[in-house]
Amino acid sequence: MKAAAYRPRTERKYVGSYSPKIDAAEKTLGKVRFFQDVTLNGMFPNTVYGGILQSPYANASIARMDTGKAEALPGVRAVLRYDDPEIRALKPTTHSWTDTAITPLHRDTLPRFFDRVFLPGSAKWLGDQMGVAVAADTPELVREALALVEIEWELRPAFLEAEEAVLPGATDLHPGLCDSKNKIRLHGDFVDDVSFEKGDVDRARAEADVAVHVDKVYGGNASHGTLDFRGCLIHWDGGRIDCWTNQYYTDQTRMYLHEYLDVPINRIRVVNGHCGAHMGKWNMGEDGYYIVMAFLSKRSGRPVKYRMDVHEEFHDTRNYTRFEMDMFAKSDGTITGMDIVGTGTLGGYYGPIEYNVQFIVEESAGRVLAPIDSLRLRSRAYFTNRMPGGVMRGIGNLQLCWPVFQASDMVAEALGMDPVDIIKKNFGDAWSPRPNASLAAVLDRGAELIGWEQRRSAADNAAGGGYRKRGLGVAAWNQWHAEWQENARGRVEVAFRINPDMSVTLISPTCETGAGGNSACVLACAESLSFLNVTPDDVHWVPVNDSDTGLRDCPPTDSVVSFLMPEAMPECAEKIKDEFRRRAALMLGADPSELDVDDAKVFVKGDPSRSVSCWSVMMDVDCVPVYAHVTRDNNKTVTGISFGAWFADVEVDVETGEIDVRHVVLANDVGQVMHASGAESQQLGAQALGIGEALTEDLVYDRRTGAALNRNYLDYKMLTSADYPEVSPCLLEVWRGAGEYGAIGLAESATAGTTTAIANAVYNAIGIRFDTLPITPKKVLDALASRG
Amino acid sequence: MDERLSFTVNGQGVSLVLGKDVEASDRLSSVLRDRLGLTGVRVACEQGACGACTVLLDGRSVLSCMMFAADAQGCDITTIEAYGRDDPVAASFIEMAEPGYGTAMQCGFCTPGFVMEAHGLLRENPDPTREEIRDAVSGHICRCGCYHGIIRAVENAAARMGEGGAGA
Ligand code: FES
Ligand code: FES
Repeated sequence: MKAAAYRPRTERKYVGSYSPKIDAAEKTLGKVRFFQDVTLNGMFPNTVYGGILQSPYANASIARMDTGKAEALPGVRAVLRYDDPEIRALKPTTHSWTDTAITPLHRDTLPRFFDRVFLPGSAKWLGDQMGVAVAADTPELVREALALVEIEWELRPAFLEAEEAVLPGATDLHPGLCDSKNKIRLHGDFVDDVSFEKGDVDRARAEADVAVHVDKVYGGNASHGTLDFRGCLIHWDGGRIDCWTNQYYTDQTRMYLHEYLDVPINRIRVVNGHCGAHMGKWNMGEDGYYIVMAFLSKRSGRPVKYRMDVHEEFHDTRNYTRFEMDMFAKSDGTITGMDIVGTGTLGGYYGPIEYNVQFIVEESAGRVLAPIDSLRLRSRAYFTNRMPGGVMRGIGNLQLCWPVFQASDMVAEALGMDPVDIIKKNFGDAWSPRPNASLAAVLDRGAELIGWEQRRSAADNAAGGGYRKRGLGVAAWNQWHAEWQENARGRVEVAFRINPDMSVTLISPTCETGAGGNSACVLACAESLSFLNVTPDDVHWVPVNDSDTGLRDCPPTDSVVSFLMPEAMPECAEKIKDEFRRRAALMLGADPSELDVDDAKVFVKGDPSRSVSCWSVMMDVDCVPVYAHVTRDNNKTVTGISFGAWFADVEVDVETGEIDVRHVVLANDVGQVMHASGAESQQLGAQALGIGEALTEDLVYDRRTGAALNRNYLDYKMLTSADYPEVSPCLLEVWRGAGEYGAIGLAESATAGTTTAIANAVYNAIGIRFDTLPITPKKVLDALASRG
Repeated sequence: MDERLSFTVNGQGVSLVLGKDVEASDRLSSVLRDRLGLTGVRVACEQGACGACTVLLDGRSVLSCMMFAADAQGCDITTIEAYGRDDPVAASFIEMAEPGYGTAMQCGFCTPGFVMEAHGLLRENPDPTREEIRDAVSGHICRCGCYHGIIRAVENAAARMGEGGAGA
């Protein structure tokens, strides 16, 4: 735990400080109210509970269903069947309606496939919510009623791998979306699956001095593992709908209910607040339960509460992505080309796999792979009966970093060069001079902290004695998003209210998931209102989003809330100043243009003795707060992006196969640190996820039934304090974006290189490369044994 | 006469009628949350895996989701609601902002459970080593991954309590 406080580029009063989170006391003392707490029994009289059947089979249809016994059970208030005419009349939905930062259907950051129906009569994975839904007086009665439903199933064999999906016997899961059996029709006109090409890859191959090949899989076996399970309480009463939820999109949830239930937007109220550690979930098509619960409420005349249990919460995985990749280089270490095949293994439904096997490479061609002249990508993806994949913290980036920086490590070894030098020489963005200064800075700082100069070659380490082998590894990736990359998000709203006692109410609605955008907002609010002597302690951030009264929320995706909302605050502060000038003009007998505001006083420019305190402007007149509101479009100036570097120091026990991660260093250039303690916390926390995925997190499937066997928190192994190693977070401000702060996202980016750095360190220790995750002791021992 | 379930929670006596206010099969966690409104007791997995629901029972940490309320008969229960900002353990979690350690929480869902565990530990071992702290809280999941900040906060709490001579 090496503390290395960062050095700010610009001295600011509050922004960038090491300070406690603004809501640390409420969180520590259990006073923050999560979904479960605002929907406690008794708070909504007459509330009943909702539940949906989870398919016990991975590939099956209902041939006949008898709900008579369930309906007759005392305490059951409504039963909704898959063949209900009202449900069947609903238009189809997509893998996730609430899936992007924007709301309108016609604009989207990812294509959508409207191929899902609500409460379907067939199941495409084991756990699929389908068939029948029940509302009853207690959760126990819901379970009992669902168990009483008699179903005659039509069973089909389950298949879990892309190779099996195309075989003649495999069920065509989504014929409407596919050109050939289970192979999804990706967006674009591809020949031979080539979805992206730049330069001349065949020439790079022909002229290469060194060519390496990797075949790497990432995803399909890790899930979000959140403690605050998904849920909603919905009351559809006559013409209006009230919905409490921990879904992190307020506005989009409202739009979604409007779209499918045909209720005017102003009659739908969605309220959310805190959501525990979402890790990117909520983008996977589970949102169908809102509609199902709404109908249960309508039928029962009661508010209906639904909350996933520990098994249901395993609803989606990191997208299962395989990259086969050839990397070509010249003897001077220049990487000249990459020939890539990206294969996605979808689960039973579409998850945004195009991001993983297509767009991420196109985007990266400008972001991190820009200096590499020739790139070719083939993209393909197949439906299977797995748990669907979806968005998870770091989507796509982790999966592409994994092959690219293992291949660059192999190139370095083949040429006898330092992997750090190979990275500096070959990677960077399309907009900054080369070599990339941000990338060089994070690599140099990280190398220093890990002790990179002590690194020996894999051959030397292997030749050394002892059963514990030590190795060091490195990976790099770009940070995301900068402001200009958020063009699809739409406008951001914030409002300040200066109360008559000079306290400040800050309305910058976003669901607090732990990402800490609210702390950054409070610091930036105080910073921008420093002319009123406001400190962060004077600012109350409103923790609840209420679509009836609040502003449109800025969803905590892409790690941008911590600076996108603050970027709107200088303008909001100027409006506050204007309003004080306008009001004080009457008291001072001057024109507003003659006045200025500082030190919490309004004064006549050139004659500061003529002044009135801001407090008295409100108190002496009418106690009406001074309020300002800003709707800001993002600054679209293209500024390039910054980089991060990950270093791992591991020890591998060649007798037990155990990997001991001794130290992880990560250095991230964030342009502007918005809240240092929060930022380092994100860097540290991301390593818990990364190391977990590298070593332990693994959904294990029964290949015969298609069941993920460990859909619970006892058997799915997430990292605890016992396994969490020394991690050194390091923040830099080298690159700069547009705007007052010019920051870039961190929380997602901080996950990007961990697994890859660990895998490279493991190779450095024992000379074996692993193609799949997690790298378990069994895999290590098997690999050592087969090497002999 | 009605059969009653009686215990103290945060110093106050509670007496519930079995079969009416509370069922014999109710988990302690749901009685604390739903019946007594102590929502600082967080519930996630309900399978003893995450530690979010930790409370103190006669001074020792227990998982309230894994216990029948009826088994707490006559016990002295402490939940996070017993503490305020001046509690040395809570204060150390709240104030954690040391460079290199991040914060002691992000979303805060797991935090009350860790605070209760730390109290349990520091009662028995007022001056734990970092290893002992790591072991003591290893039954808790913080998906946000704030383990550095949490362990440091417990170290700081021990130091504070040592200085002030205050008991848990
Ligand atoms: S809720 Fe009790 S251990 Fe998870
Ligand atoms: S702070 Fe989010 S789970 Fe621990």
